[in-house]
Amino acid sequence: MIELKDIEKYYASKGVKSYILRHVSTTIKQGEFVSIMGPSGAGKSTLLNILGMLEEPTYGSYSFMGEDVTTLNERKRIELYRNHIGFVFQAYHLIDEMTVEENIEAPLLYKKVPGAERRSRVADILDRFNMVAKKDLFPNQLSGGQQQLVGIARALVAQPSIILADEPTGNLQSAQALQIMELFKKLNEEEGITIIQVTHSEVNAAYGSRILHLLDGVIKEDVNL
Amino acid sequence: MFRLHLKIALRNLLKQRSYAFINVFGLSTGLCAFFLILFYVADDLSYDRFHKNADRIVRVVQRASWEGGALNLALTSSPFAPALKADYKEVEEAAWIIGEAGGLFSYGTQQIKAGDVFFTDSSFLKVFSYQFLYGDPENSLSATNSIVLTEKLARKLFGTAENAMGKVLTLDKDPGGTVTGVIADLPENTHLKFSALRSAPPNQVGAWQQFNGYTYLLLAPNADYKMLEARLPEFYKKHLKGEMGVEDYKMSLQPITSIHLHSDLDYEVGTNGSMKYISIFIVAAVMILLIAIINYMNLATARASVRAREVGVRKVVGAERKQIMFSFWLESVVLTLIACLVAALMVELLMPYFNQLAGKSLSTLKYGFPFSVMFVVVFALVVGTLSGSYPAFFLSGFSVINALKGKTGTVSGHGILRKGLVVFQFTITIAMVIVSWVIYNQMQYVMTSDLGFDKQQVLTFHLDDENTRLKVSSLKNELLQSPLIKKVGVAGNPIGNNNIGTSGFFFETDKGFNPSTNIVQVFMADEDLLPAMGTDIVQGRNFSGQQSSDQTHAIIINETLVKELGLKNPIGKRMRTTYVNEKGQREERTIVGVVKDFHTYSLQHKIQGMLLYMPPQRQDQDNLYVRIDPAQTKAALQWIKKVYARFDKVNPAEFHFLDDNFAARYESEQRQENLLLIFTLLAISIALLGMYGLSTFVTSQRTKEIAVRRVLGASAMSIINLLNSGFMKITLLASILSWPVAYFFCNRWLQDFAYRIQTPLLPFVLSSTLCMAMVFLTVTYKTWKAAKANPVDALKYE
Repeated sequence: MIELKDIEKYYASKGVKSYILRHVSTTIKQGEFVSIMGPSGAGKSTLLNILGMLEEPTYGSYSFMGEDVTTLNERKRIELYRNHIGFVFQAYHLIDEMTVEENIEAPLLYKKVPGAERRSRVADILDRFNMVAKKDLFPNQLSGGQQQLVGIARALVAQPSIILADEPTGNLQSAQALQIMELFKKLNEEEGITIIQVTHSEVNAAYGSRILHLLDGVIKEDVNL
Repeated sequence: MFRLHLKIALRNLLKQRSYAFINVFGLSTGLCAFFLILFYVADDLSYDRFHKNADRIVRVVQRASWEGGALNLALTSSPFAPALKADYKEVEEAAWIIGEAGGLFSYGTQQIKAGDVFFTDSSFLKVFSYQFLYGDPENSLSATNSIVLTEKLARKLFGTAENAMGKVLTLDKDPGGTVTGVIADLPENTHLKFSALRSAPPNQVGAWQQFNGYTYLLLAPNADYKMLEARLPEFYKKHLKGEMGVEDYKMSLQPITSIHLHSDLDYEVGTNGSMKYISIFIVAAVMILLIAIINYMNLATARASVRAREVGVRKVVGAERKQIMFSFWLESVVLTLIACLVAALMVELLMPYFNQLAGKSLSTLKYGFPFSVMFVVVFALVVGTLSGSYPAFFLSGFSVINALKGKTGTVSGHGILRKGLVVFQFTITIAMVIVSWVIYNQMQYVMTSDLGFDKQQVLTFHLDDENTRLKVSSLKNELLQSPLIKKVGVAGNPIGNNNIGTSGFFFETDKGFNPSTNIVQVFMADEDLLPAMGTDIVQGRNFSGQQSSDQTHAIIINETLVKELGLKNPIGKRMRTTYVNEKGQREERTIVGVVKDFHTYSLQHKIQGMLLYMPPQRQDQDNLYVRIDPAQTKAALQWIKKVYARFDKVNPAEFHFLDDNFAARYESEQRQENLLLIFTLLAISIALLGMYGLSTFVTSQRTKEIAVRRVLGASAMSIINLLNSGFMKITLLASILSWPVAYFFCNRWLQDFAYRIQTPLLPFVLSSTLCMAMVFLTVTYKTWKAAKANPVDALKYE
């Protein structure tokens, strides 16, 4: 599903290149649950951003579902976001002015899904996440764990084939974190959704099927669990 | 989608209440000013369009200039109309009207004084299309002594318009005539206002140079008035040149629809508007609106950091840029629509005051409710798009990754644009302050300048009754019985109203009589008038009541005419009339004195050559000038009324103080002064409000920096300086830029005055200083708070 070849990312400032990623090559297959781990500044988030096409690599090639996406125009990228990729953020990044329901509905709106289908899919997800009672609340009326649930629901509603999660439990207490990880595991196992997460936590990583250890921009270890 | 965007737009506005308030307040104030001006302008542009043939009616006016003099007359003489109709086939109909047909109308016990009455004939009603309620335009004025009343006057005299028909009215005790028609009241938007028309007495054809009325032509369909105008020099040659002798002469035709805004001649029928003022108003209104729009743009983009994350999220969940732009655009349209509704409400509430200020009677729903609503909505869309498109474009352009991190500061070009817009705002604002200030100075100058006579406590009133005029010397004597009355003089006209006429005369110079006439103002005055006005005789002597030859042979001229004629020894020089008396001779008079120049009209007009002679007949002694004791105005007025009532038992005395007469000439200038002052205040408050909003955001963006500096030992003062300096630099730049702009507009405005102040420096310096001070206070209010805040609060956030 994902094939990275010799990905490099560096910033040139005053003639000095400071590398974030060096010679990163790997393949991620459909249905994998990959955790990217490593100390601060190792390049975990940058790698995830490149995978999510939020950043472009300086060098190297990246193919997503058999298509070369190393450089991609905005329209194509948006197509991928709409149909294949769901993002989950550490800071949830819900839109404050929208209710829970509207936040979840937003991707479908942008995808121009017809109203009836949209409503049924949103209702479905709300039901699945046990959030029907909270659908009219605004994000700031929810706890962190609940907000992240909404974030995941929003990522799932468009039925993506892959979820990219940047420290999804970083802001959460451990009980809530556990809940989120259980959810990821279930989505991965029962629905075959590919999940790639960045995490500091060994515990969280243990939910996945594979760990990429990053150090100073280089993959030091690639462990299948 | 749309509904959600709309909901979110509203939630955003509710959430950011102070931000929304600044914008709604600014925009609605700007819009309100704009709408009011729009009404004003629309009304001014609609003048005289209600006549069926409005596009074919022109007025004949004339301009001429010669060495030392010029004339710019809306007036023509009575032979013009028939001659033009006879000479040119393009002239389908020609009408001539002349004022001074008014007076005290009475029917039974009802007495109504109406001054705005014209003599004319049925051709007038063929040129213009007035709506006849009773009678008809063809016959109403064809018989002698016919009167056509407006509905309002008819109601006042007869109770109903219907009753008026066929009734015989008296006018100043004389048989006035029979009511042969009643027309609907004239709309406000006409330059030619009257309350009644009378058929002109027969055989009242005056001389070619008796310019005392107005000529209107109805041109044939398809006739081009410009082409006709080009052929008029031959008309002058044929009829007028022999007598006037002026080489530089031009007759022009004014389409009636252009008279109100484009005609500014001497002796207009009434006070006209002016395209120039209209343009000033439009510019001011657009500027205020722009200032408000800029506020919106600046505040919206300054809030970028707040909105950036949202943009990033939307993009990541699959929004295209145009969808994001749409939602920002919608937000600004919603806000503008709210502002428009508030503005419409404000317009409705303020209209009476605005009417008072502008001297109009406008109504908000003049153009109908659906049109008004549609206009407001369309306008909201336009203004919303205008103000929302840049923020939408700017905000939607963030790269996802930066936006998600809340990083927006990297776009440096935007900062320059924002500063540029603020500079623009303040350039306009400061320029407006300067211009208002200079206008105020000029008006003060105009109001207090020396008119060449002592205008304080001189009142004039018209003697309506002819019998009283015959007994004017005993009236004078009786008035003077009281010590409250200092002096009483008699003249042919009140001054300050611009109704004293001009005429051409042959003057004698050192080289003998001039072959052609000089056109001068003519003022009838008795021997007591100049003393009563407090003017000085600079050469020769005043008229004398003792020398009866003065009555028929003496004239006094003013200094301007002395200069114009180039006379070294004016006393004893003669003047001849253009017309001949019953013995077939031209009358001849001798200059006995030279009077110091005095103004008979506003300071927009240069003093012209003037000739004074004594009223040849007692009937001409119809205006009394009375100088009263300044300490006891009230008692003096009572005394005058009492004495006057003994002479004229019918007409009450209507007093006009001379200084009021002159002040009334500046009515339109004072209106502009007031309107501009209000606009200026609006501009200042909107601009300052924007500055306040901007400083709020800039300060909040730099909260962390301020805290760090404070922790490092910076004093509150230095923090304030740091934060203020950017704003102060912008304001300084704006005030430098505003000077040439203001200078340009001040000069344009002052050009209307023949007598004006030099553009003073003080308003420029003070306005700039004042605005800088206000900006300083506004900004400091925010920065002081930021500087005083406990740095720990800001730092522990991270």
